Amino acid sequence: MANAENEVKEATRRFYDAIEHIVSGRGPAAMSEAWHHNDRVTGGHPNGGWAIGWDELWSTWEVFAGFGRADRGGSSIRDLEAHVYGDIAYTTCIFTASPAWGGEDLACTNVLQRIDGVWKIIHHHADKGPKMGESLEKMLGEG
Amino acid sequence: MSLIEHVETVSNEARVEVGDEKGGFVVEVDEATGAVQVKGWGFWSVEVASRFGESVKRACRQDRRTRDMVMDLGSLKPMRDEGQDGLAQVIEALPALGIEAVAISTLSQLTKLQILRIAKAHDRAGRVHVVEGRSGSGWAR
Repeated sequence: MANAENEVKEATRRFYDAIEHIVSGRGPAAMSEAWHHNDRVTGGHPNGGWAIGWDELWSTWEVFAGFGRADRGGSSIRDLEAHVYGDIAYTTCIFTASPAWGGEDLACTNVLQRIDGVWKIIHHHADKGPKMGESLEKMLGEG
Repeated sequence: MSLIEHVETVSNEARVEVGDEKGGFVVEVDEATGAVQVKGWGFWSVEVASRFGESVKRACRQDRRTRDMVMDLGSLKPMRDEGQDGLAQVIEALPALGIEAVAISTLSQLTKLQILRIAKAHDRAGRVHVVEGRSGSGWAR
């Protein structure tokens, strides 16, 4: 079980590394790798409603990727906990947005599934973060 | 069954409806004022998204009085590339279509950010106003 928890934590860290890729302008490809792709994956971001199915989710990550830039990075997580139930697991953590993206601390929950021995995200939910939306709109004004 | 068969289109001179409850849009021309009214919802499939631009432009050409457009995109989810391209086409064509003001409303901040980015890139004449809320009608002149 300890090994599975470590694998789940690693998969979760890959997901947050993928967020940092997006934030810092390295694109959403790593995010695609962090998820299983099917019609049942779901996600809720700090802004916006639920995305249901991979196609919807991917569109949301692409919106965020449009705001990435090398000097806008600096997101992090802490207090990562993992709980494994067979081939399903969930993790909780506190995500801190990069300063350029509002800098808020957001409580997050992720659900992961092991398919063919590989843990990946199937659900992500973050607290609402009004400062993030404000920061992104401000970026649009800056060009 | 091909995906295209899932896309229902109901069309007459004054109203075009494309899509289903999961994702679609309606375009109609107000008979009294000539204003073009657009309502979009859900997540647009490729087939729905690819019909958006031409459907809206066709409606704009129907009535020579048309100067305003209101887009209620309150429940529209962030669009895939084809939907973004359709909206960009409409915004690019506004001067040629004689549209002087477009009010776009959305409840989703992510959708709003996406639309703002498209407007910034394609609305050179400053005719598009994006608001977060249920209806953009407050922007109509």
